[in-house]
Amino acid sequence: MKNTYIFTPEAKGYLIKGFVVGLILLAIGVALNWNVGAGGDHHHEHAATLRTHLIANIYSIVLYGFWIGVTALFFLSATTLALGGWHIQIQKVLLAIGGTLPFSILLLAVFFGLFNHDLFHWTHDLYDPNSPTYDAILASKRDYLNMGRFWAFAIALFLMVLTIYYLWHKNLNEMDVNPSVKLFDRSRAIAAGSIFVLAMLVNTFGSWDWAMSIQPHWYSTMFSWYLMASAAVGMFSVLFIIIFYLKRNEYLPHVNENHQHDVAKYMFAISIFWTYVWFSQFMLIWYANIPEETLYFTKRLNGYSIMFYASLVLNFILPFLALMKRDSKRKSNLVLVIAVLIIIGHWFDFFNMIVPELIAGGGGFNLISIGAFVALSSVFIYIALATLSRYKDLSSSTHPYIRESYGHHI
Amino acid sequence: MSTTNKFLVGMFDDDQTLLKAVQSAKESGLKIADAFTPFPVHGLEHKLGLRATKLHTAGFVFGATGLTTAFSLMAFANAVDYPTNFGGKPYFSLPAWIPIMFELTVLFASVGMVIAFYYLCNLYPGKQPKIVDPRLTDDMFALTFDITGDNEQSSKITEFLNKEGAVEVFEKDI
Repeated sequence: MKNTYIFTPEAKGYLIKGFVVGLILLAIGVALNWNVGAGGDHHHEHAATLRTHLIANIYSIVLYGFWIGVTALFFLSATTLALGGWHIQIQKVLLAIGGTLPFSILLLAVFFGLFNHDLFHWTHDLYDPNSPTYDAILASKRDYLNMGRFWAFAIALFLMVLTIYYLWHKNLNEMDVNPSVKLFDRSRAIAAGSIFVLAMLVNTFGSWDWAMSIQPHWYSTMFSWYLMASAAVGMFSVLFIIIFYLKRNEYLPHVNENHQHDVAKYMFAISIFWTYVWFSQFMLIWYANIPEETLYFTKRLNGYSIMFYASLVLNFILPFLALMKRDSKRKSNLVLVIAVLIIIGHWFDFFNMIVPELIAGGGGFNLISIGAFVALSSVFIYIALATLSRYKDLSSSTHPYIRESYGHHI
Repeated sequence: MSTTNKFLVGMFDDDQTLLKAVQSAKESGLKIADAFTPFPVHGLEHKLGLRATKLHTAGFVFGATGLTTAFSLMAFANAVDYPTNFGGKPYFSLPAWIPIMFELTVLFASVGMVIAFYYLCNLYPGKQPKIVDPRLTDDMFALTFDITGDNEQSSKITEFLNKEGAVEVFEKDI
């Protein structure tokens, strides 16, 4: 019985090939869009250049990856805190998804450091009344939207996320070697702190600062949980795919269709939750019809309507109909296909949050987006699997609740 | 519904003993009429060979009916029969109808499933309950065998139940 995941050269080879294919697609995309937005365009003062295309697309994917890591740690904490037992065998997989966080945090820090002027309109010279670009509305938000506060929050949130990942990593590894009630209690204490920090602080301020402030004139009180729900569905799909891959390679012998059923249930349930928040946000704005609010959807429906409706189809209609029946949640091949489509669907959703604001009027989705997505997801999966291979005890077989996980039956 | 059947009831005091007895009954070809437990016993429904309930399908059909009802009523009233201008919105305004379509889906599905549940369980208001033994709601488990007009089976099943660890065996007309 194999209980330590070995990251085989074959698997590494596939991911490296994926990365290279992604880079090639990205390079072709760059070549095709070399002159995009340069001169010629008299309608827009600031037509999006190749630089903006690259930054907008890559940033939206990095943000997606970061939030998948955050929701993985959040889910691990929430289930632990609820004294859940079924997930014990797969908790190392959740932790491994969280293992991508140092990488995504590094990338986000690079974006905030080097490209904040490209991403955030409020970093432009808007607050000085004598400036030609003075914006009275944004000037009234200057106490929040300024670089000093932005960096203070970003550093604090990054440190909190890294600390949570480190504490979980240390605790679960100690528990494998020397299980004790004290360590189990400590894992619950970590979980209690984590759900507060991840859901209340990281999710709220992170989504405001790093996603919503890209359109600083617009705000929505539903945006934080809409974003987190979106990433959570993506995370459960990634979790399912990794479990499927491990099962195929004869790891996790006691994980059966009951555990897969539970993950599929979360994919189904959170998809509906995402739709609920997405639609609530859309309908209130559509109904009230206030210009500064409808701006957000105008930008997404002009030039990006295919992405807009595709994300609704892939993230709601497809999982709703395909995963509704109990039997279909237990067919792992079917759920695998749905999981891949959901990951793509929520990438479209993150794309819709970021890109239409920076590349107005369409054209933001091209080979650059696809190449960046393929390359970056290969890197994320590579890091997650490399992290997973560091755990000596893949299924946490000495955890006090492991019997409950073995006997899980629904 | 006034016909009564004669049942042989074996009372058990442990769910694992009951599960083993169900397994042995299956192996020795005895037909179990029903099993009663005070709490859900994992795996019992598989061992008894019960088919999955069709209540979910009924729920889906009721929900789809509710969705269609809400949609067609609003579409007919707002867009065809009596078009009224609300805040400059189009007559055919799907986003505004979705909350009501959702509500009617839930209403039809829940009420319909309650009725379907009553029908499937043969329940109705004022029904006289047929109780095998009151202890089954507390700490006892039971297997019942239909022995109507078949007294030869009775001694064989009694012997089987005693062998499987039943703490009590009795006959009951239900």
